[in-house]
Amino acid sequence: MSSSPWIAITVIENLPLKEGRTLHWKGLDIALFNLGTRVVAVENKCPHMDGPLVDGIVSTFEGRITVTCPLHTRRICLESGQTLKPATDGPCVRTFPAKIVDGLVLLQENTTLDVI
Amino acid sequence: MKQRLAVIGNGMAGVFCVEQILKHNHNFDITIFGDETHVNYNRILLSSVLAGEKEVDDIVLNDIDWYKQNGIQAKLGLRIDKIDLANKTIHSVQGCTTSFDKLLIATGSSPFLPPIGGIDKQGVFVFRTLDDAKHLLALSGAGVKAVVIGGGLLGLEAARGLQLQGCDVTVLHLGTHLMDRQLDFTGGQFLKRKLESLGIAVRCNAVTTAFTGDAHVEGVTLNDGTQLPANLVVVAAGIKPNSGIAKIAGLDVNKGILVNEYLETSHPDVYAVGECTEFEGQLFGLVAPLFEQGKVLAASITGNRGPVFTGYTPATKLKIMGADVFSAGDFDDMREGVECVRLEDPSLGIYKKLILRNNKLEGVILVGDASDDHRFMDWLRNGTDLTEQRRNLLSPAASAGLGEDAAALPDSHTVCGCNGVSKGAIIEAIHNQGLCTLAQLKDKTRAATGCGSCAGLCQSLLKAVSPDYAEEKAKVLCSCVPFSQDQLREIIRSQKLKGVQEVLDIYGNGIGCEVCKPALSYLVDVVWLGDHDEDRSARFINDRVHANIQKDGTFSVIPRMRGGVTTPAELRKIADVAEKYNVPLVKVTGSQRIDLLGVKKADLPGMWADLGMRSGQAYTKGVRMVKTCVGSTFCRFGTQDSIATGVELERRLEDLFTPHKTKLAVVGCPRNCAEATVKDIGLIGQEGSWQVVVGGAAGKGVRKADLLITVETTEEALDASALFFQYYREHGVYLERTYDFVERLGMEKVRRDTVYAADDVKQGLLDRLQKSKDRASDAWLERDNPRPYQFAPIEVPNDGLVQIQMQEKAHV
Ligand code: SRM
Ligand SMILES: Cc1cc2nc3c(=O)[nH]c(=O)nc-3n(C[C@H](O)[C@H](O)[C@H](O)COP(=O)(O)OP(=O)(O)OC[C@H]3O[C@@H](n4cnc5c(N)ncnc54)[C@H](O)[C@@H]3O)c2cc1C
Ligand code: SF4
Ligand code: FES
Repeated sequence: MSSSPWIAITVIENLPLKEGRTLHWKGLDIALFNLGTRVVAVENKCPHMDGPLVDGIVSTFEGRITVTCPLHTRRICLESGQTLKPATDGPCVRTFPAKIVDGLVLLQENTTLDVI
Repeated sequence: MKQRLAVIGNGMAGVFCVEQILKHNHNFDITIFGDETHVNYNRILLSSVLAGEKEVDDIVLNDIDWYKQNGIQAKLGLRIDKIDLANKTIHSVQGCTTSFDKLLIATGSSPFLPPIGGIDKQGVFVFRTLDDAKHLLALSGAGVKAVVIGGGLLGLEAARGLQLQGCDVTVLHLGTHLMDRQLDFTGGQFLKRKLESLGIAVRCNAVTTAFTGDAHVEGVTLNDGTQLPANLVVVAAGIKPNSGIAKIAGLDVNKGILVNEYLETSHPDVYAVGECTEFEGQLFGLVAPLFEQGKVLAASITGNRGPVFTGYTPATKLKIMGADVFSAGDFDDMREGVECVRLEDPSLGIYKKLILRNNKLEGVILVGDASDDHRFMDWLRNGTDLTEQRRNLLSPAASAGLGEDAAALPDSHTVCGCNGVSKGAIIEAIHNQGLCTLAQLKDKTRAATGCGSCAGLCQSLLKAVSPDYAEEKAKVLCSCVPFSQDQLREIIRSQKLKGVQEVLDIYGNGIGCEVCKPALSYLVDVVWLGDHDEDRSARFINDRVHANIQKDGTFSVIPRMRGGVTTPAELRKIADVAEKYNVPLVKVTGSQRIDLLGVKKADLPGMWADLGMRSGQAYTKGVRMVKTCVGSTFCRFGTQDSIATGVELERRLEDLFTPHKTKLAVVGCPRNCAEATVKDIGLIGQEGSWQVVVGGAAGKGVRKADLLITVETTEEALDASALFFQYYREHGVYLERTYDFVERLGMEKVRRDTVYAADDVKQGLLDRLQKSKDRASDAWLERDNPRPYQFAPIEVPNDGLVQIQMQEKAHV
């Protein structure tokens, strides 16, 4: 596992509830989602045709929390980065470990690409 | 010589029995006495009246014409206080005397009033009659503190009704758990949680000792000393049979009037049906067995003795949307020799329990999901041997769709428990009377007109049997909220749900998806005429930022240009803005306006401000544009002022959401230069009149619009457009264009319900449109007051920086 340090990004109030917000950091374009009790972060780039996942609608698919890409409705698992629909073995999105501590959103740069 | 049949009680059981008598070849002069002033109505649906789901007119079973047409004398508002068996007369409180040859007593029952101090105070009610419901409705409302005594079926339905009227409701229940006669402890707990999630407070083990206050009730005292404030109390502590006059007359009476298997009393010319009766120790509180009684008596009294009344298996269904309960048979699992099969899913709020003896069902409880109740009821009634079904007792046979399910039922199966209509009777009616819609089926057989829970089954029977059955588009919206859009509209309206999340929490999986969330956003908006709780996380990105997303994540900006009319100054502004923001492409659209493409999200508010123009709604399911031709302003053929009319039409309808995008056009003569015949709504000018056409398309498919109406004045043409527009908003399925909408409903119906509707109906449509319009505004005004973080990304240096973000928060 990566041992990169956790970086404070912002306070949780800066992320709209159940929506995404873009984060520019270290040259990366990251989509942060505020799920109410936790925050998840994925690279803001749909594996299909680079669609902005941050603008998608948060939903569930077979019990997993997903975002639906606004361009052609691919469903991406926000935890694993997997494309769940249409194909479960499709390409993955890069994910970043994220957590909320004392109201601060902390992010860790994920050096290992999650390819399954 | 005709025989005089007098009926005491104009309620559900008595009148049902009379209806059955009319079906036989009879020889009676019938007079019905009722102390309520109303014609025969469906008492079961009083809960729906209280909940605001039904109007008084909706629950009438037999109107005054029915009595007249069948030669029945109705004596309403008349209370019988004496039966003279020796002289065969009955006497009313008002002092009139009537002779009879045969007498039917169907006096029902009365609410039981426990001996609690202060129960006679104003503001303390029972819930039995239409007048009770009206009184409750008059007194309930926001801020009213209501207490319901009794957590049985009636009390809970009253509680939900009052709460939907805006009251703060607490249910006080004497027992250890809710509906303790129909549910075990666990079932009661599940139900309690469900009701609490709907916003009803529940206290069990609550012994009410007094009602406090002066003339009017102000509070309720419990035996543990608790004081609850209350301006309204409903006592629903049980019922007792109205058997008093029968007892005084000398008939055999225990708790109820004793009847045998032919509903005969101890006097040869006197019969009784309904909740006032007692049969082999059984008392009654639900209509199904009473209708059985009615049929048996109607047959035997007309000389057709056949089947006998054999009592019933108690079965109860709670009619609170979102809190399904079904219970039947004996559910006590502590008895010797019984087995118990159960399923508990707290997160879904579902509890199911079956009691079996020797592989036969003896009792069943369903909480949270009572969708397959008829299957269990069938097993119970028929004593089906379940050895082979043991592996999937609680899971409905997955492959069997509703249709197959219905096909598998025996003809004797009672489909509508409320009205006692069997599958066989329904099929016969479908065949013999050529029924093809649910409405016709209801009308002819009365199936599904009681509590309505069998409507789905009736529908599948129609589908399976009727050769002319036309698929009614009642598709469920989405597996996240498995209801049709019509049902959802009804749920949103009647259950007073104003936000998408509420609907998802109570009726769905709590999360939703990109299919149902935008649809629900539309439905709450249109049901509440814009007075809803807007939830942007439920909207597609276009509606979050009021611009259309492009393939590269940028957006397009199309300002409104009503009727396609612009000015040099406006064009200059557009040109300036395009340069200032480096807009990569400026294009004239297919809809007579200008598109600025390739705009960054963060630039949107600034551009709108610089443009100073309204949003053209090119990104949403709403009013796009009204295309116009030059018309009489310049054109040598023009007969009407198409430009001014188009501009006005756009002004009246813009800024509103519709089921799908709505495109309009106005042309000055039938040459049709702005293509009005292929628009959702088109106005076609001709000498001295306008044709209003609807449902046209030239997109994926081409469809020529249908004529809605031809009118003389421009004002009438605008009104006709508005009527259709609002009607489409209220009845269209989300993502249904008008070209599908008019085909689904048929133009006849559309015309009848809009331009040819009664004046008050038309006015209603226009008023609701106006209300929505009053609340709507130009979406781009959000530039002055953006939601937090609607447009800007977060920028963070490599090592993170919290302070900057803290400041950002402080600014908003
Ligand atoms: C911009 C425009 C093309 C243009 O450059 O002229 C356009 C662009 C799009 N059209 Fe269109 N339509 C445009 C006029 C039309 C017209 C002509 C008209 O309105 O008179 C039609 C045929 C008329 C009709 O709608 O019936 C038209 C029929 C469609 C359809 C097919 C609709 C159908 O049910 O048949 C779609 C797809 C859909 O809605 O499902 C569509 C969908 C789209 C979308 C919104 C696709 C999308 O979801 O992203 C396109 C957005 C492109 C973008 O990058 O923003 N567009 N589109 C026109 C904008 C008009 C405006 O000012 O608002
Ligand atoms: C709010 C509510 C919800 C219900 N929900 C359900 C349900 O979901 N399912 C279900 O199966 N059942 C339900 N019931 C019960 C159902 O309504 C009754 O079982 C049914 O109405 C009984 O019919 P009845 O004819 O015996 O009595 P009623 O319908 O009460 O009719 C008796 C009539 O006789 C009149 N009367 C009485 N005495 C006299 C007299 N001396 N002179 C003249 N007239 C007299 C009464 O005023 C009344 O109008 C509900 C009841 C209520 C109140
Ligand atoms: S529709 Fe008729 S009036 Fe309008 S521009 Fe064409 S020809 Fe002229
Ligand atoms: S880019 Fe995401 S689905 Fe096509």
